[in-house]
Amino acid sequence: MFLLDGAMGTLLQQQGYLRPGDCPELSNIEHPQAIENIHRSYIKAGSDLIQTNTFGANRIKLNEYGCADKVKEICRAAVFNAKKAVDGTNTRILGDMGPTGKFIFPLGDTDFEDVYQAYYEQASILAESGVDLLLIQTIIDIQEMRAAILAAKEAAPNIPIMCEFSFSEDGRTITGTTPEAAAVLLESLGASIIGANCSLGPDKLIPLISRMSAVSNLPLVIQPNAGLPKLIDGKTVFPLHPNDMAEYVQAMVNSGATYIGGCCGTSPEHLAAMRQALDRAVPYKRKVITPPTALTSRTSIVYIGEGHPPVIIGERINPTGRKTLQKDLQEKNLVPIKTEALNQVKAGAHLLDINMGVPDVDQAALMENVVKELSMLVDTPLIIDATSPSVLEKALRIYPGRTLINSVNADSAQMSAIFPIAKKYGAALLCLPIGSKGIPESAADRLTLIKKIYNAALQTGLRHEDLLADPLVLTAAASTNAPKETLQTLRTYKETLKIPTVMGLSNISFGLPGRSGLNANFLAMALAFGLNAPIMNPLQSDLIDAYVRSLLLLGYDSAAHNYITRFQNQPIENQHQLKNNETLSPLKKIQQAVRDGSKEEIGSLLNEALNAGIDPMVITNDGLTAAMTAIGEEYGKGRCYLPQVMIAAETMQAAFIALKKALPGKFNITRKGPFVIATVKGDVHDLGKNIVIALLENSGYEVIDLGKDVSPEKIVSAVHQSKAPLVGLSALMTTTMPQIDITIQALKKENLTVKIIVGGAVLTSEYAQKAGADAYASNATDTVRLANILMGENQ
Amino acid sequence: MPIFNGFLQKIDIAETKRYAGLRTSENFSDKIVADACMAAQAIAKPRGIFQQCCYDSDSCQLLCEEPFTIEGSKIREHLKNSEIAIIMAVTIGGDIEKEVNTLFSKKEYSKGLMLDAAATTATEMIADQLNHYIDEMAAKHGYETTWRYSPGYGDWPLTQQMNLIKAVHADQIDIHLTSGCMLVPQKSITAIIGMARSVVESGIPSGCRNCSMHNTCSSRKE
Repeated sequence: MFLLDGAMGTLLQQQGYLRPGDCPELSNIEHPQAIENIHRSYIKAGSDLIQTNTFGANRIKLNEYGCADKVKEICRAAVFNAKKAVDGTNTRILGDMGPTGKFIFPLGDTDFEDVYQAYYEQASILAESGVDLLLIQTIIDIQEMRAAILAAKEAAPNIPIMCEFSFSEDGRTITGTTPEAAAVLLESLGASIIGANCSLGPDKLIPLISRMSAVSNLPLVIQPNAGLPKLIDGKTVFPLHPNDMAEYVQAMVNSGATYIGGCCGTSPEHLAAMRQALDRAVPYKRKVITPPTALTSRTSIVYIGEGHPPVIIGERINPTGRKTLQKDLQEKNLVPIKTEALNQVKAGAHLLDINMGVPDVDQAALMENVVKELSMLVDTPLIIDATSPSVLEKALRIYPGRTLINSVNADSAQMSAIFPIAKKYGAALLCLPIGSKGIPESAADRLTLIKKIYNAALQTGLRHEDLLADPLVLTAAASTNAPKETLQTLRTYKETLKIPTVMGLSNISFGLPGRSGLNANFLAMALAFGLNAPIMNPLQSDLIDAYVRSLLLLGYDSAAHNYITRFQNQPIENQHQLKNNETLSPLKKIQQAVRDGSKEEIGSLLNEALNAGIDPMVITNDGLTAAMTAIGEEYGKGRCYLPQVMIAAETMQAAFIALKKALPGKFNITRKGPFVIATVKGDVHDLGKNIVIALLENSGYEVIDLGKDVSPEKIVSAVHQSKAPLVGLSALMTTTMPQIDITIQALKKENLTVKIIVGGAVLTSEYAQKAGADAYASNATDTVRLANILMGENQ
Repeated sequence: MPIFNGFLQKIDIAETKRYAGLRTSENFSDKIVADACMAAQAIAKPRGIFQQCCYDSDSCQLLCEEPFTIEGSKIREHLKNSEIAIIMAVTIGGDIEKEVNTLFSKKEYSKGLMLDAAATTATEMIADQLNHYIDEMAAKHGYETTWRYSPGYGDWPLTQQMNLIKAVHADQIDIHLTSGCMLVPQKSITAIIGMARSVVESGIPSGCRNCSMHNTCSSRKE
């Protein structure tokens, strides 16, 4: 067990070397002796490792103090100071690298490569100056940690790296990474020691270290703050005294940590007390765990394999054979692909396969862009479906987590191209048993090829938990025995290799009818033979049915909870269910349909009414319009809500379309108005105006919509040109209300015979009257009522 | 000017219903709301920016690049003990409001209404994320933070929106102000958060009870 050191900055402040606003790292050059003394005091207290005073000594952070060009000078001096202090002792030096203070795009505006370069620079200088380890600490976002580790590995390949995230009280980093996701990612990226520091006191940090020890066998480090700080007399004060911290040492040891230190608020006194406690502490026999095969996103972790339930990989993000999707992607419209991702996650996908094989585009750039966007949009880890090294390089570099490469086959050239990329970025690999002799037919032959890939992978430093295998799925249409052979392959892999299995389900039914049913049956069989992760279409509900049933039958659904949730009789979600009351007259049924928003039923109800000989105008006035008026009144009284009014309005629209279709050329609603409408100058709210327009059009008004932020001149001109009898003005804020007055004055000046209705959340009838309006509408349905009155209709 | 864009991994259905004017959730189809939330997620482009400034609670001056005096007794009470103020601006971009207009012009009124409500929820979520980050940073140094206060709340004049967006360089995330002091894109929020040793009960707890629209607002929580 090893003791690290404590805070540096506070001591420099206390000793008068640092005033607020000074760059702490400059002290290495300006007060080298002070730095050396602080190091010595920690060594004297018992520290086995000390951190160089280079926490903020990266180019980006130093830029805030105007000394970005001093990275080399500062880091060299810092290591020099540390070396002088450790001379003659066994204390080792940690080259400290802290945050840049910026968020990486798309979370912030700083480019990943700029952060990488800054850390590369710092790591190489620290390494060549002679540190024993590199320490990346106090990191709150996974992308920054990734940039730092990748840079450190590249700049100083032979120096072990210690990585610490900073967690919040909810057990996640500020941007949502859990200890488990952090540990799995850090280990896959090649960190030697992992853990957490800062932000929390020992009581809150210790459980997070325990959580890491459940998914990794790597040595663990913990450096808590001396509790949560308070501001007293203008100074930040940390509550835990040296003996308080010391009391936590045994608990820190029991969490599995073998590297223990302190962060903010700790001093040589704290560390001395902790040294004593550490020397007395009972060592903890940490349970050796089997490292899981797991994929992570910024915010979640998904385990695949033995002891975990099978997981669904959504296959839909694949442009093969989908012309519209290809076009969208070529035009850089990502909304459809984002919608596809969200739909799959909603339907139950645990992982998403991402394939960007679109013709006529730079596939690497497209993949990079899509990965950036989707990794922000969903919690779900992504799988990179590509074999081109340039596409993989771009995607893996920017993915904020640990992904899976789909896939690598037994071809030597492909293996030598892809293995290094997987290793560098800590990605898992799906192995395909296809070699120079094409697709092997038998399970035994497939196993041979997988073994070849597996062994070659391990040679390059990839680990058992990085590898997954595909049994190959061929269409049942082409070969009688192919499906059986796939199942046999799954069983063989499970018994021999003990690595998780992934397969693309849909191939099995290619070229056959009844695809979805066949896929569902094969899914159930494959799961029984040990398949861990099918690549399938989660939007097909009978496939999910098969999945849920299989999980129950294979023992993954305790108390049949998920099964019952999915299959119990749900009440039909139909608020608009027509009361099938035979005694209701056709007109009453129509009214009910509008009231309930039954867009689907209105067509047949109208036909029923027409067949009963009811005049279309009677249907319109006494059936449809009467219903809209009634619902408008209810809305005004607060007995129903705006969305219901909107759905009723849509039902009216559907009714008009149906009537026009049933009586071609004979059905026309009289066009009232026109009604000119605008949101006044300086005001950009238009939702209310849009709702008013919807209801006016429903009532037969021709509406001239001038839009928002409309000048009085434009409104006057529109009224003039259209000879509109009605104009509606809307304003939402006190700051734009005066434009109502101005616009009304402008209209009155022209001596137009137009009637003016005003509305908007901030207006009142008193204000409207004072401003000279003809009417004040308190809501959208009120507007229609007033328009009809002003037009001389009885309502 | 630090940028923190946040991310929208889901949009709360209950909150969206509230913004759509559906105070109780029973009789309305969750599917329409869920679909709107998903559509909003796909179209939104969240962005955020913030700036730390000193605050002089005696003179009520915000000591940003172009210092200005904060007007309004309630906001001043709110910031009474604050030594530092963090000003922030977030938006989810202008594409959603365009889509809402398109839906209305296609007579898909309820979809448009729901999408607008989902967009409001999304904007508040992004503001919450940035707010959370600010709270954590403040706590690190021992400060407590006030709840976030926007121009227009209480008696903080909307006209000070001009000073605020200038101070936080909101134009860097493409937020502008109309001549009527309205934020463009519409789905944007600007706010101030005070950092103090201890945040005194300012007499204006957050919540619907203390808002001037308490009696008429269809989005009221309580």
